[in-house]
Amino acid sequence: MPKASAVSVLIVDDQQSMRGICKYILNQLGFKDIIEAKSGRDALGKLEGANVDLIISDWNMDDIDGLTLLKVIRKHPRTQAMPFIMATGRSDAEQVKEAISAGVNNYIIKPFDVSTMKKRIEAVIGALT
Amino acid sequence: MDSTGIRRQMGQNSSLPPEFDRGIVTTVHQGDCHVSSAQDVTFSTVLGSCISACVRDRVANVGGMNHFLLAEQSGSAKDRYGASARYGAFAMEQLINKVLSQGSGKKSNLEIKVFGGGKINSALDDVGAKNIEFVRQFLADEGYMASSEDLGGMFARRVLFKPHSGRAFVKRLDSDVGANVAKEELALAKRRVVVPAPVDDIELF
Repeated sequence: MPKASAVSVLIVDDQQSMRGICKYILNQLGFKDIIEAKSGRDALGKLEGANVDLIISDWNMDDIDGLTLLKVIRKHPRTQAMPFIMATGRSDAEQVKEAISAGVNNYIIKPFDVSTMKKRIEAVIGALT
Repeated sequence: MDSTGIRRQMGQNSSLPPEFDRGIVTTVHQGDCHVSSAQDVTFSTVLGSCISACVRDRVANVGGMNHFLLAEQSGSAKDRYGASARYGAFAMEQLINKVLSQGSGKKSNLEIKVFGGGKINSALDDVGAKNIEFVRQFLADEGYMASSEDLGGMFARRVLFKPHSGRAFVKRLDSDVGANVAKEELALAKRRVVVPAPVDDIELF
């Protein structure tokens, strides 16, 4: 069972408030090692220099969107097995199927709270301690 | 029209400018988020303490309106990422993303107008101010500047917004109308239905 404080999470969202909300919720779940990326391109840069155990990414972003980011990550040997959770709006449920085809591990629908986030993360990396 | 580009009128009996008085009028209720590019569409809402943001892609002529109320009591509302503020942030993100996806996709093309946050009932005093504080903080955090706004005051307002042209019309409502709006908002706040439970009804994994 992974210890939340030992898991490194990369949050990818182009909206500062959404990154703040996500970080706040992760902190509540005990996560300490949180890296923020403000775009898909920024995420790829951050992945080069950091060991990341879990990615939580928004779908809609200006430069490289969440789906494209997922596809790029799944192509590279070093990152292809990296757990990836997509955050999406309620009306984007259809897009979730596209993300599944691209290899997403799970998804979370906005608005989300602490318990939903915990459930989704545990479904991907196992029960948190 | 004043210097901020918003038409304002006082009282209930004033007639609407012609452009707002024809075509299809869609009412935007609390919790709604509507987006359109149609020239003949007008979005309409009545605000007491609530906030409506009108977001428009000025290149694609696509616009939308939301309507939300952060009703959390003081204390937790001070928490920047508390449930109430999260609800507001999601409401704003939903509107912005909808406009972007139907428009040019570029945030730099967006113009934002914000309305509401009135002080129309002593029991809701704090709520209007907190709603204003929230929306201003959100815009600052995300690097947006409201192109115009009509916030605060001791009255309710009707806001009309043309999503295609981006023109907005605000009518400040008389106190009896404001009292009814306050009553409805207070009932909503007490029932706490304004912060919906997170959606978790799709199980694909």
